[in-house]
Amino acid sequence: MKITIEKGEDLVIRLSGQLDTLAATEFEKEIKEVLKSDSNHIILNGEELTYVSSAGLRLLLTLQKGMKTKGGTLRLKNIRREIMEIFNITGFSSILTIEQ
Amino acid sequence: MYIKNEMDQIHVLNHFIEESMTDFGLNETTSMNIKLALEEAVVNIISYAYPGEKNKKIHIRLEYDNNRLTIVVTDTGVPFDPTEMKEPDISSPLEERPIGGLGTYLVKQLMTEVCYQRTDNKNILTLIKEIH
Repeated sequence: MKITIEKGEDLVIRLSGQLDTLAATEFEKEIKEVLKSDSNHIILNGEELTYVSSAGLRLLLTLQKGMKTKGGTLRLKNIRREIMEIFNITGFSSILTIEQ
Repeated sequence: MYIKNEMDQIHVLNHFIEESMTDFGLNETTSMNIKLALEEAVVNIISYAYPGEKNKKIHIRLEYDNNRLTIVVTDTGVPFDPTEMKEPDISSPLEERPIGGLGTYLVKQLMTEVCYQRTDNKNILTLIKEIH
């Protein structure tokens, strides 16, 4: 799992590979930093995200809730079909802002 | 195969599943769903079956026959029936969404059948997927 964060007008988080239970620990640290930062608009690019476990879903929920609390936004882009299926099963497709 | 009740064993498990799914000739989405269901089931066992104990074994057996995949996960930890866990309300809005409770729900949704038995002081969790 590779996490890349690019700071521009929006803060862009790119996830590559598998967001499994172990990778979620690493992603959680990044999320804490992102929520502490002054970035108010976040884009999560899921073009290369191939797998997400419930630990990963929990973190997306934490990030979404955290951004809402600080008056910001989180948008997910380029989510793969198989990951969308997991979002649909869990109802995450209706609570996350997903742009194709 | 056996894994120990340590979280880093998830990579060993996932690698084993990926190879097995390829051997069985299953497509990528089906393989991913099965890997996810098993990861969630095993993460629960690692987290709760052996409180305070290390170096305990979890046994995983796979069988693929006639388009039916059967996975049997056995541990000798404390009794734990994941099929009895309360399901999260997946239609609740963001503010009311609890952080958690999704793992077992995913197992049930991704597999065709999930059965639990407690026999001879063992937790036996059987996950079945009918492949179409």
